[in-house]
Amino acid sequence: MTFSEGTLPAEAATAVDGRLHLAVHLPWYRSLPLSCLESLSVSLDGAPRRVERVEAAGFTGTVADAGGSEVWWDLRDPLRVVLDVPARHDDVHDVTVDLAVRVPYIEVLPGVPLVQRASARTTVTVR
Amino acid sequence: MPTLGTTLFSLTPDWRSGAGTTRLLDRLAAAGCGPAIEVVGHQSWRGFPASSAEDERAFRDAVDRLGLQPAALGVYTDLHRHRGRSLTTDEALADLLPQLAAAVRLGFPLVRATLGMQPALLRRAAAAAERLGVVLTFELQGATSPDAPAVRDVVELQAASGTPFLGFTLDSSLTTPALPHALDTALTRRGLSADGVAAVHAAWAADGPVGPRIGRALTAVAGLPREPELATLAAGVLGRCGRSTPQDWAPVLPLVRHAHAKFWDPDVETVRAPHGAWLAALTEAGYDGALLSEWGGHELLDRDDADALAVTRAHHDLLSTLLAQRTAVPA
Repeated sequence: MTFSEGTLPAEAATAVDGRLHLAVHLPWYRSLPLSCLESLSVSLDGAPRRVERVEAAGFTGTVADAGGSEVWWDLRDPLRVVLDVPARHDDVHDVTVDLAVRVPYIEVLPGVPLVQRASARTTVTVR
Repeated sequence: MPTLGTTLFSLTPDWRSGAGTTRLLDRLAAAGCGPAIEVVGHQSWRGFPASSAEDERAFRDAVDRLGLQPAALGVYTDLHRHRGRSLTTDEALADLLPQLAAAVRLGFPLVRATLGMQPALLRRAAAAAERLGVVLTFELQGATSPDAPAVRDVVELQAASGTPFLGFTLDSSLTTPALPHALDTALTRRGLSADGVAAVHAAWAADGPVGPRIGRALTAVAGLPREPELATLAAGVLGRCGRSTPQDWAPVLPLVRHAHAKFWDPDVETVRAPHGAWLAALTEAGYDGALLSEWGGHELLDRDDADALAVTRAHHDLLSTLLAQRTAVPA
């Protein structure tokens, strides 16, 4: 299982109040502070889509807001990614999630942390 | 003689799939991959180091029931947890101290931390570890060289203080005969051509320090559609495949308190020579701590390519053979 594998499982998509939500798992081997989320972008059927907000236990906000959060992205728990996209049960989409997380304890140069980049592409059926 | 065991980091695919600590300890023990274990705190417990008393009790009970030996707890100072600034020394110490205390509660005599702690933090962390009775070790791995300032800092502090609670975790990735085949698989699957893969190997094998060699490897993946992933893989693996020898590290070996036998490829024969060499060097230096199997191939291969526990079992067979060769008495 590479770090991309398992990041976006086939059952990741749900329709909540008519909006598309994606359950995105952390592409690393240990839990990280959510503030280490550097970027997250989503394409749906080949077209970029705006990420409205992300949700973790104790946090709801934009990807930019996540940088100032004090909560953790636990290895076991998906980050809920809410898209500005209408959704219905049984819709099928080709989804690509590109994300970057800062690894806060590894430096590639003095003072410069490693940024782990992963890209996960999955065909999902909305539940 | 070293005690064999496994770091549960090797089972990262299971952790990422939501497996619980007790279940994984059960599986590891049933496969005969103990008795020594290393656990990564931030991988194994929700809320670590403020894990629940119930989770901690379940761990201690499982260890007792299965006859496992907690050898090392992986701890971290997340210096760059805030975007745009690094933790102060006080903040970094505050990040680390609860993890040291958790090690004591969970029954670990030793912790493994990332090499490179700044001297002011190092002094305070080492003093705290000694007060708690936990051995603080820093991992020597990959392209780290014996004369690196971060290595010298630990050696000099230990010499000055004489403390038995400060030392190193030695990782056999210091000695890597060739880049793993699994890296070729990972790069190819992300669109790198055969010529590109060969260029990455040539960059790794070139003369000179690792930084410029990684830079050369990155030129081989530049401009490709999946360049960010390819660059992360190439740089990450090249930096963790060192070319020093056990002899290069001889002056440091008396400070080794914990050890990893690292491998990437499911074919464990690829590491017979370097792991045999490190086992010889460690035993000749009088090392009698744990020697833990550590499989990193899950970072490069898909889950269908290899089962983490099966490759760990095969690696244990190899390590047992190498260990038996060290202890065999000539007729």
